[in-house]
Amino acid sequence: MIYLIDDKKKRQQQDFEWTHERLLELDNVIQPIYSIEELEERSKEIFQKQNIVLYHESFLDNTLKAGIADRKRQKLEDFAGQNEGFQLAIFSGSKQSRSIESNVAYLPVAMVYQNLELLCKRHINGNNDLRYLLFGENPEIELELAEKLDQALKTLGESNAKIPGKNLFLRPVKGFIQNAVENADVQTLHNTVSDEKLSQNIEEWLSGVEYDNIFVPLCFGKTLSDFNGLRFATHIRCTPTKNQSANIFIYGFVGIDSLLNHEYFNILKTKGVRLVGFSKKAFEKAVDFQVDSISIQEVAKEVLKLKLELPKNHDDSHSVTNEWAIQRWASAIGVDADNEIGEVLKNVESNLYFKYLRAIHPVNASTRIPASRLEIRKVGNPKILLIDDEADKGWCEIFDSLFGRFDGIYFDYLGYDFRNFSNRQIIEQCYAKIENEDIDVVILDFRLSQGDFFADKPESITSIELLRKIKAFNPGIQVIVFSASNKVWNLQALQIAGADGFVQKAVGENVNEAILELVDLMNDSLKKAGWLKRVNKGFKRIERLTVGYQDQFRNNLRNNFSICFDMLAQSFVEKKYLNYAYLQLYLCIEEFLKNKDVFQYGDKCYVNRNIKVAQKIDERSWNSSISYNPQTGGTPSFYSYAEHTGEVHIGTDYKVSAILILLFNQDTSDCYNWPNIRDVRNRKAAHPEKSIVTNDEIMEILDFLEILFDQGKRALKPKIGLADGIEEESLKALREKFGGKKY
Amino acid sequence: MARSKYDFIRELLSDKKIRPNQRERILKLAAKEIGNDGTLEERISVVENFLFNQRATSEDTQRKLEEPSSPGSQKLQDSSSDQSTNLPDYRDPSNVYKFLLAYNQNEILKSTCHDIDSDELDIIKGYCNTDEYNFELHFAKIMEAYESLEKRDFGLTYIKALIRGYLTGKGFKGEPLNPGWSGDRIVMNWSHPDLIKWCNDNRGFPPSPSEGLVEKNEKVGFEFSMFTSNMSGKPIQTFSELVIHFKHMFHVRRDNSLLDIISHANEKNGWADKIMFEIDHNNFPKNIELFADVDKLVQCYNGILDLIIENHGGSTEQKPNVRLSLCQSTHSVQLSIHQLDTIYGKSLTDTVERGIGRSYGNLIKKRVNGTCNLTLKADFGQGDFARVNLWDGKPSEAEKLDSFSGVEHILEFPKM
Repeated sequence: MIYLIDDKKKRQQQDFEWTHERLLELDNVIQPIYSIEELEERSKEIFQKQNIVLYHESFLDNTLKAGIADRKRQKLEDFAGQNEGFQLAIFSGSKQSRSIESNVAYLPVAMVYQNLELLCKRHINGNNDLRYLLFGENPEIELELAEKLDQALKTLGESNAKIPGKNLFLRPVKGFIQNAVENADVQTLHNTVSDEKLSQNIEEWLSGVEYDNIFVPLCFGKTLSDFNGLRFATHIRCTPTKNQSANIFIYGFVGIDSLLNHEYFNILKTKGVRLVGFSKKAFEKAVDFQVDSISIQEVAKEVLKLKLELPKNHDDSHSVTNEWAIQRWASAIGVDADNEIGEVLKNVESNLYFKYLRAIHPVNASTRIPASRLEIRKVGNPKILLIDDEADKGWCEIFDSLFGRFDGIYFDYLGYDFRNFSNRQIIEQCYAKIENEDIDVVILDFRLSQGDFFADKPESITSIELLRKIKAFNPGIQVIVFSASNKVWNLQALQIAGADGFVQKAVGENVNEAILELVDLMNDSLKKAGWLKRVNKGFKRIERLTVGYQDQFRNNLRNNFSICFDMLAQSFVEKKYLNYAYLQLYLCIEEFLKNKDVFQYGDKCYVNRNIKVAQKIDERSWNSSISYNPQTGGTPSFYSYAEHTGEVHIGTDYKVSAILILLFNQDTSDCYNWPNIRDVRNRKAAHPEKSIVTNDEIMEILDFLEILFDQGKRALKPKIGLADGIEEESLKALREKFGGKKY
Repeated sequence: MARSKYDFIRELLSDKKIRPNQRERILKLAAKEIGNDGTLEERISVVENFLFNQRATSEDTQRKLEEPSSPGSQKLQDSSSDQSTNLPDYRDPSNVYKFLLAYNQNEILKSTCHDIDSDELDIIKGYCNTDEYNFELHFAKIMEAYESLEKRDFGLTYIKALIRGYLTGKGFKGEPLNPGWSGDRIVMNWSHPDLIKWCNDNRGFPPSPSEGLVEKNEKVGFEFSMFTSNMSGKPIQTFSELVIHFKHMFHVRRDNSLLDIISHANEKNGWADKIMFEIDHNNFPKNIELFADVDKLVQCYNGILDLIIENHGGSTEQKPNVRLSLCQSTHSVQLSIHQLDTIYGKSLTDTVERGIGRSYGNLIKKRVNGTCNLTLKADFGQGDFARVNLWDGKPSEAEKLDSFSGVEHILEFPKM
């Protein structure tokens, strides 16, 4: 544990921004102590070998307890002397130097708070080296640089450098050169070195006056070895200001060999940028030798030499790509930057990598996509859901702008709190939303959690698991995968899992293409979803009606539905698949009729095993309880409840009609659209080369199946079939009547 | 005659340039004189002496006016030495320690030797009774606190002059210090017009902000034309750096260690070209704390090295071999400058009985007195090894040693 013993609470919280909340976040590794009472009370836990104690040298100075505090400090020093594992750092506001002797360090207060987070991180990993507190990430280098700076400051030279033209001299907040360049404008670079801050500096200092030469310190910010001067010079070159092509002199007290591995080293390879010595004379000399100034036209070419790479860290990379894509998409679509997306756009505006990308791929107003091309053709009142762990960073606004502006389109998103959830929780939350809200189209980010970056196989990636679950729930829901990833194995895995489309979070020149692709895909998806979801719901309802049916029948039914669904999905590509889908559904009727409980075929035919519907008289003739009525004019053929003796064709139409008339107690089979369904099957579906089945016809046959399979819809009192008791006598009479064979 | 002298006293007392504490002292001395044995003229003569001297050489006479001799102090008994009569009265260096410690710990004066953070700012606003930092009020409080401290402790003319220079840019009589205060001739001070103008232009913000406050507000504080510190060789160009520099002028501690100070003095004066130093860091700890007049301390150190080189005869082929060490006891800190390869130039008897010669005399008079005590440990030749207290307010005495090699000068800085 690290114990931070400092009574100067305001200094801690305000000056160094170590607020109560920030300390609380790290309370598993650091404990602040503000009073002597607390120090006394926790003495036992503090005086432990593996602890680190950071002690304000003047703890409770100028109070009545100063003496006790001083003795406590002495006790800590003694304890440190006896226990090598125990680390003690004594800090003060009036200390200017950093030193360490064995396990006791002495340092200025600013260093403590500057490097405290780093010390905490190291301590968590079992590293108690106090040098990280004194010198930051690279103790050896930092110490060497600090000594070099001290030395360099002693040999600056007296008179200021006389350099022709308009000059801007930038200096660090500490260890700066005063009056370095005669008549130069002077600005101070403070310790905050975020891209946002540096961009702000450039905006303030380089937008107005046009300079010939800009002098940038190689070392500024909290850590000398960060060599922020290289980064700042890169910022200047990548930021479109009137000083973008000014000569840049980076002045430092180390040679170029110390900078070779720096991320922004390439800036020194570009024209118009030079590393110069840390003295006034060196400035004068450098300007004399500067001959490779560049013009504004050459800037882009020079910037290309920088060859900046995406940040190596996965998290950053993910975030960087996302933000860059958001900026590009927002710009192409024309999203207002007055809400949450503004933060992202601001970051993209100031982030050096983005600046670099913009310098390479400039965006201009002409790349804006016309609103007419972004039109969404909705069917009904569709519901779109975005699932993206970075949804709230701007994507939700972009999609809301794309889809939400159309009346009747519901748009919502999930993802802002995914980082607090496990993969399982993410999937459950999304699934519940899709089910409860009856979502039609899901825009799904490929990577939804940090764990997805380290998944062994694509199948275990959260989005793929979720995709499978969505498709199992209702394959009619359209899922468009939306991701920065374009790896083949990812695409393959997504396709196998049932993704309906893929749109890349494009960042390059193909942003507009990707947006238009998404719009087209969305139009297709809305059309598909509206129809396929309904079909699938119908399937589900029908399946539920067959709960008591034989397993084999049910399995066949499921297979048929599955094939049918694929064909219906395929029909969006080739219409003839509608016909095949229809035939597949018709097959379900035929399969149904094969069940002896439904229709028993033989010399005597029964419906529901107990209603005799037909009895064979001889090879050519039957006695039937229903009689055929041929087509007349516009009325299709049908059967009616009337006994008939003669030629009978006991096919699907007969069987279905018998069921409808006898079991459903109908007068004719011209009910529930059956004659039409039968005719569509025979005249259209079977002949795709001639005509195509319509979606309505598909729905009609589905509705019919739902009625046919629903035992609850059958009449409580079915109609009476052929009488059983007089069977032999009747047959004899009928044979005589029709001249049949005598027995 | 007597009348005129009384008039003189009256005139002197009415002189506006005489400060209250000096006036008080004059009255005491006059009263004492009048009550003493001897003629009135003789008594007045003593007073007159003090007064004339006070006008002629402000530093010494002011000390005499303000500071009674320490009870134990007396001039070295060496009638044969032509220098001994010119030796000053002994000034106890522990007073410096006490005074500087009190200065450093004073709640208000602390802000003149520490940069100002948010907590300190609250304290200042508290005793200034304002919601916003106000330099004018702050400085008034500083002067009030300092004058009170100045009155409380007698003597210490040099250190008080130094602090007055730092705070006001002026001497005791209000005369501008030209070219500046301290050995660095520092022009900038708490009353400098440029500083006051800056404070007027930057109301609410202290001129000497801490690093945290600088970052938080993105304001460096008050800046002025750079000067290079004599003590460290580092450039001083902000007021925050100046207050820390000022602290370093009297507070020796780890980040302003005597080792660093002496190393810089060696580098600056090129001592290493003339002397072979031997410094064992174990015997020269950096963590020893001390309140002392660092400028004077360095002058003492340089003075001793001058003596060593002078006695060595200027041979560059064979440099004198000098071991430096530092140690502390409960009551003092001792800096040892030990020339290993020599014997003392005078016999032990001469050293003790004939007193201090011209070179030591000047060193003591100008540098050592009031800064530290000086002790000599040496091989005096002829089998005489001894320790002699050259300057500590007591008569010089020899403490025989069984053996000793070389000549060691010990600068002792008493703490109490």
